[in-house]
Amino acid sequence: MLRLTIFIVYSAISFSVSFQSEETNANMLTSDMIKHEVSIKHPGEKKRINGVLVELPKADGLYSVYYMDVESVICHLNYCKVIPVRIHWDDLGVFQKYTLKKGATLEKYKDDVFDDEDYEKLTSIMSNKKSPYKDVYIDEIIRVVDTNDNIDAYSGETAIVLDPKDTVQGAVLTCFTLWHWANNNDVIRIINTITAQSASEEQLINFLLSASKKHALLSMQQGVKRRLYTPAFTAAVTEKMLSDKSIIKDAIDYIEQDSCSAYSKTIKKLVNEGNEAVIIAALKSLKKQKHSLPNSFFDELCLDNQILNSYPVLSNYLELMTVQNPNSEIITEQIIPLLNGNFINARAVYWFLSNQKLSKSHQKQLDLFFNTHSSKL
Amino acid sequence: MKRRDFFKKGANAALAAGTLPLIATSCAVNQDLAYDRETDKWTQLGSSLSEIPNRTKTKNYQVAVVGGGAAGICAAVSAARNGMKVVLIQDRPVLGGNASSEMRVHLNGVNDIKGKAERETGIIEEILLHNRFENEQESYPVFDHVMYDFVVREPNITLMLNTQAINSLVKDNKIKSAICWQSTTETMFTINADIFIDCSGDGLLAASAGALYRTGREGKAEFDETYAPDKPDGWQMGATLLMSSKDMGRPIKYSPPSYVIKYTHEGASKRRKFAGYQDGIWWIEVGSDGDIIGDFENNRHKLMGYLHGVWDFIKNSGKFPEAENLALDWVGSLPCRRESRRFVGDYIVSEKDMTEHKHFYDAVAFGGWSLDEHNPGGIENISEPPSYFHYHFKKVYEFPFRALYSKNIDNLMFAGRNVSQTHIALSSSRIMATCALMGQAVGTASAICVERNVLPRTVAKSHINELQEQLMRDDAFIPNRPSNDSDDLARKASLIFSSSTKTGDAKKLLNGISRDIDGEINHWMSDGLHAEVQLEWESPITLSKVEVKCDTNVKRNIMMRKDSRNDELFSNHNPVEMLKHATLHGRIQGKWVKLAVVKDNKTRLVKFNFETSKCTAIRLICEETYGAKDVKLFELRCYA
Repeated sequence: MLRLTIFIVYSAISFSVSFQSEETNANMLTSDMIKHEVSIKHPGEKKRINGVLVELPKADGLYSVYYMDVESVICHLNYCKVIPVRIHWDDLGVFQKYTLKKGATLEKYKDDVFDDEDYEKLTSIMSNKKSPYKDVYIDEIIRVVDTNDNIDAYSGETAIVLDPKDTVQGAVLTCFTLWHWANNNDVIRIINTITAQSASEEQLINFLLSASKKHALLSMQQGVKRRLYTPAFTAAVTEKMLSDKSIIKDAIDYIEQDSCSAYSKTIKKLVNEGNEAVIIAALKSLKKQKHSLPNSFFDELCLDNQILNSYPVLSNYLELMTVQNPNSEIITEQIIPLLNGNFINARAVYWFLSNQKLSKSHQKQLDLFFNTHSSKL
Repeated sequence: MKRRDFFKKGANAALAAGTLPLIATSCAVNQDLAYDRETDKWTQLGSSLSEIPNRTKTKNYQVAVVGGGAAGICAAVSAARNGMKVVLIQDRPVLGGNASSEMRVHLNGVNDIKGKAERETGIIEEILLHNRFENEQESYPVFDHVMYDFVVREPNITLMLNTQAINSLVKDNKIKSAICWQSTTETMFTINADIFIDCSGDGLLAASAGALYRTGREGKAEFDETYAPDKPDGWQMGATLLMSSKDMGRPIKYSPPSYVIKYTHEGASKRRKFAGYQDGIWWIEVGSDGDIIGDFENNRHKLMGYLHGVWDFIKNSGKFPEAENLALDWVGSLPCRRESRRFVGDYIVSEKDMTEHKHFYDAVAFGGWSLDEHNPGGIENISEPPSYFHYHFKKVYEFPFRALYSKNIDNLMFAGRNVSQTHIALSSSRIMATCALMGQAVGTASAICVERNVLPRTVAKSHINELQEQLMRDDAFIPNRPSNDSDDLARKASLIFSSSTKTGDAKKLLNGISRDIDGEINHWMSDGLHAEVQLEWESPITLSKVEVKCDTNVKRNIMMRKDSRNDELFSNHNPVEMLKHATLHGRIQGKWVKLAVVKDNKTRLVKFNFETSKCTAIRLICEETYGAKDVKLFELRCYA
């Protein structure tokens, strides 16, 4: 769908309008602007709207910013004052701010104009992804704009009423129009696609090293898509995983598609250096891997007994050994002391060892455990 | 003796006009009775047999539920599932009441608290989910059949349609029998039961039994209600007649019928809006200052006139050019009622119980629809807003069990708009899904009454914990009342953990709160699928049931709407978050054994039933949802 709607034209352009924001003007003057002709669906219009999304690459080369000039209000009845509004987004399509042409003002019902508080409130409304405007239909609003009604919109018997804190009184249609520009799904998708497709490997690594989870996820998805398995990129993914458990799943998905030797090296690092969640994810990955890793690899995968005191880690560890490395004396030797520890853990070890080939001395310890705890097994 | 009792009651009772006129004037003269059919000889031409048909029947049940709307269905199903032999008596040919295809009101509940729903769970959610799975086309007549299926598949329920409970036999302050007329079979039924539950809205059975009730509006002073009128009056919110239209793709002319009442919108309140008019206009509404039940047929006729008057205004005033291609596709003939009798219980819920969020020791239900009091006069008073929407709740309020049984008829309970509350409280709690929660509460309470041989008042005094625990086990939610079921063996587990966690914690599955609420997380959500939750017990335990509450996104509405709205707040399909496939394993003597499998699950409360087994651990493997990448659960319980 994206391919049908985006026409990317790489050419620098300039704008004739001057906007209030000096910062924006500075960007316009110093940056190489890239113009993207886009087709956008706005819920206030039946047909798609053609527009120009302008990309302003930042000087550090890491994050671009974007803006688009739109009309302040979608008004089908020609009684609204319409002025251009510039909407600004970051490189993931998150709304940042809006700016107006110098001297321009937004208007409210009955020729009233926005005051400073209204402008501030509008910014807050547009920044709120969960604003009630998300769920309001334009036809619910159109019937309201010519009334003094202080209930902005409701339909059927559902009593959808916009709380005064959620709207600029007398400017419902403007709020609706601009909220749906600031949080427009088409715009967000287009900006994300541009960011993902245009980022170099170095930029993607910087994304991973940044504090932004969204950037890290975008980077890893690109890593898989581009088959980006250079040592530098893989190391960045590993470091990110060790410091941020919220991206574990995506990181494992990336790592699992690496070569056998690189996979085993990375996974061992994760087991040795990771926290409980990372270790469990790594053990689960190993349990289902199809790289035919040698038994020696698993024998070397010794975990500290303190870590094995965590039942979820122990449980996954034993399941891994059952599947990938059964009857290993080294593993038996490592875990048999756990029979004397926490009972729940000891019982898991007991059941595991019951299915392993054991030396006589190990078998004796196991029998002793059974005799002591048979009623709890 | 019983027969004489009946005649005595019959002479005094307020009966529905036109239902059985002979009964209403009955004295002890046998030939006046409609079911005395000695002259009615039925000759079968095929067999040449001639006989007097038997048109009187007596049936015995443990619980009799009158009224087959959302509240009545939930009352009947909960009583039946808790082991009662139940009869559900409904005076219409379809179930669903205001939500049925006869009336087509959206089955609203707590639709919008700070921009999100706080949806009702339990039986009403099960019905709405059943509809989402079996009625993807969002057809109202099919919804009738979905509800029919939901009821008749319960083995303990006998459903009587086209049957109205018109009178009662009362002895020692208890209803012994409901006298019911089934119009399609010309049969008079005497229904004997231990417990009667009136969910009929107007409450004819309860009224005929002499249960105390109120109508009209309380004055401010009586309950210290901010939004009540200064002085009490007789006004009751009106009934609405709905309609829907369709776009024919070409201009369609419209001429109003002879009974139209002209509508001009002149002088109308600005709040009297037309948004969404193509799916009906809720303010086509007429109420009453007096006997709203007695006025019903007059009001129905007026409403039909107003409906066409408003549609004529839309089609022919020139103010709605977009309506040129619209044609009426369905018009209601049965107005959707909001208010009539409110029976008096041991507690009368009032405005401040709701707005000040009073905590009730006997809370069994909750609500959160706005205080949505429609104006006196309805469409006959158009200069006023159609509703005042006095107050919008920021969180849900509790509803107590003591408002759900009669103060003076000992074995009578209620659910729905006829419960013990003020007019202002009714303006919020009358919403169908809220009524349905009350229904599940009284249905469950009826089982406790019968099993323990006690009356509802005793349940409130001595068995409220049992009632609340059973409700929560059956997936009802009670605000500020975490479950603490001593039979739940999951709570005795030494350890619970999950294979992955994106948000929440597996330990939250045991905290007794089955939804995220008041900003608190009470769930475990996996990071991807498959995902597992495991419980370990120090010693083997005997298990035969594991019950899980999965996510159905109670923050988003799922009831059917005419506009098929599908956005953050409303959906037009089953929730993608729901658990679809799952397998339960138990560790028996050191080996993992498959105990139960659930495929194509369609409920929030997922039950795994299996042969009694001795396990030291269980592992729930969540394999697939209906589209969500992660699975979210709210509760896990284990029972012997």
